[in-house]
Amino acid sequence: MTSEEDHTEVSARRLLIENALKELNEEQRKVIELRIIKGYTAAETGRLMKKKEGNIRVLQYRALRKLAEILKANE
Amino acid sequence: MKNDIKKLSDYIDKLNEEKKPKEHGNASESPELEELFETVRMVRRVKEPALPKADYPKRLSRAVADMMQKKNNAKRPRRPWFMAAAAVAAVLVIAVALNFLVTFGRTNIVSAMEQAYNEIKAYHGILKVVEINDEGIEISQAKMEVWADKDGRYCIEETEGQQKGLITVNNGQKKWQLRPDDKKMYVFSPFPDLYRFTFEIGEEINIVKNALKVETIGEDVISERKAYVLKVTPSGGKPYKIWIDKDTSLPLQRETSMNNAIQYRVTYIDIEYIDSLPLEVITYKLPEGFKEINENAEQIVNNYDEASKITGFIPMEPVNSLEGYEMEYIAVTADAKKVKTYYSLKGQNKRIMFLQGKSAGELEPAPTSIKGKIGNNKAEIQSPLEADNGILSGGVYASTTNINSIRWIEGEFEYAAVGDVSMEKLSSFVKSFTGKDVQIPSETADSSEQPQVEVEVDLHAEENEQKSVDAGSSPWKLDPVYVAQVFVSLKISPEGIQGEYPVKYEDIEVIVNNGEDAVLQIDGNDTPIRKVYLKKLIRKDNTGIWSVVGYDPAN
Repeated sequence: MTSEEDHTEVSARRLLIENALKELNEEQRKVIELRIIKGYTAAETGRLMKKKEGNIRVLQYRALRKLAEILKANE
Repeated sequence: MKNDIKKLSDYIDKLNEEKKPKEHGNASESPELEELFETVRMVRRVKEPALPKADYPKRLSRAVADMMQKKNNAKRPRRPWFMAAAAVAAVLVIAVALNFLVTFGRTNIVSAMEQAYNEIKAYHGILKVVEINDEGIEISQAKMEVWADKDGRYCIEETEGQQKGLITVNNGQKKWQLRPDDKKMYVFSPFPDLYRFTFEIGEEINIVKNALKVETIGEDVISERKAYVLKVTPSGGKPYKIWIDKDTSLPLQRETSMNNAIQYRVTYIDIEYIDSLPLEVITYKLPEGFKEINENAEQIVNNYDEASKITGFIPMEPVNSLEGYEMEYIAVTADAKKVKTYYSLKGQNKRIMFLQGKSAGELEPAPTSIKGKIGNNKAEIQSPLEADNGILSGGVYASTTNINSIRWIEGEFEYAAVGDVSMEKLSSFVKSFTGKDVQIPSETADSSEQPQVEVEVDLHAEENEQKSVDAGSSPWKLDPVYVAQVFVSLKISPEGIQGEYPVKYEDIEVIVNNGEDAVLQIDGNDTPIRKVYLKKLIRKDNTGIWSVVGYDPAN
């Protein structure tokens, strides 16, 4: 965790995000985990998920849209 | 839309490279895209600090801390002529002690901290968080009242700051967060508790204990308490300073290093050590006018009989008594498909969760896992837990670094044990629970087995690679399967890899992985290499990269 995040507000946000991630389907959660949390490139994520790079980009776009909706609903 | 998909992907790539994307805060982007950028940034904050796993042996006492205190409290000599000699002697003793402290400071201070923590049961304090900019201007960000005990239970209330009134509690059975602003009470699973609270004393001591370097750099007075100031270089992070109370040997304050012209200081401006937490602070009660939000509701049941009525199957009960473990409770998941039994290790803030449910087919172990056996059934061993397949799905363990798991299928049932304990402890738990032998190759295999062909490693280059991975690039270097796949593929295509790798990820099996050494076997006939030997040369914890140190040719 970086120093900027060292705050209770972050803890509250983390819980919300972790909870929202659980509401995604397995494929959506996986793509967010690999691309954003673990930091793999789209090509690397494609190899790990056995999908084409272009499909990964579409999948991550949809997953993030769904996640944004869930977060908005939980606000 | 197509353009947005590409922009979003490029934005993620920039952040992964730790570069500020040009789209950041760009008003010309559509509100929808800006919202997705913000969602990406929020998800990135879920990244956990990388905590090292290496457990340094406890071998020192708090002798020096005591010695220092005794010298300070030394009685005054009766005769004036003796005073001068005593003063000289005292100076010499203190000088020797300080020298000793500087030379062996790390181990003695750390040992004194561990010892002191062993002696307390719980604590209650007021924590202040201050932001300091590069001009030295301090802004108080928050004050929190902290109640915490060594069984992992805590209650944190923000008494000042942006989140004033926010209360977060984990009483071991339930975790909840009360948000007065929107009159909602959010309920979460108590384990795994991915983020607890800042400056948790036991956790701070653990980080110092496992740090790469600890230096005593001075003395100070904090909250009217005399303190040693230590500079800690953690494993996988920037150096920071921590103040240790001279009397109690416990942490009082921590200050991060400057990062983007900002640093943070957290201080216990008041702290007392108590025998137990007051019941009223850790008892769940929905305040009047508040709404409970529980999206992961688990129904707590009294016994396995009740669990079987809900799930429709009879859960396995422990075959042997589980000595050293205390069963906390049994719960059934909201979909009525899994039974979870939570155990805690007596006197330790550690938990094991035993999951059981009906299997959905054959066990398909995660590629990064080690393949073991429970009795005659193949098992997936993950240390740490990375892939949440099968009964582990939905757990969001990916951002954690200290949770291990064992998963297997037996007949029509699937089981898993998940815990923030060592793999040795987890396997002994599974053995006691099931009464079956647990075979973990990394424990039995000879990790000192030598490769037929040694690969020369450029340590300087590996150090630079490690720095680059620490900064967020090439995360695949942390995945032993990926490292082996790239190595073998480059042996087949030395000119470079284009398109698919010539060796498939799923054709690589981890046969040894003890966290420091790994041996991977390449299946199939179209490979010039049968085994790849990897080692963590720069750092041994979960943030350390794997380097290829040798291989066995296929023939």
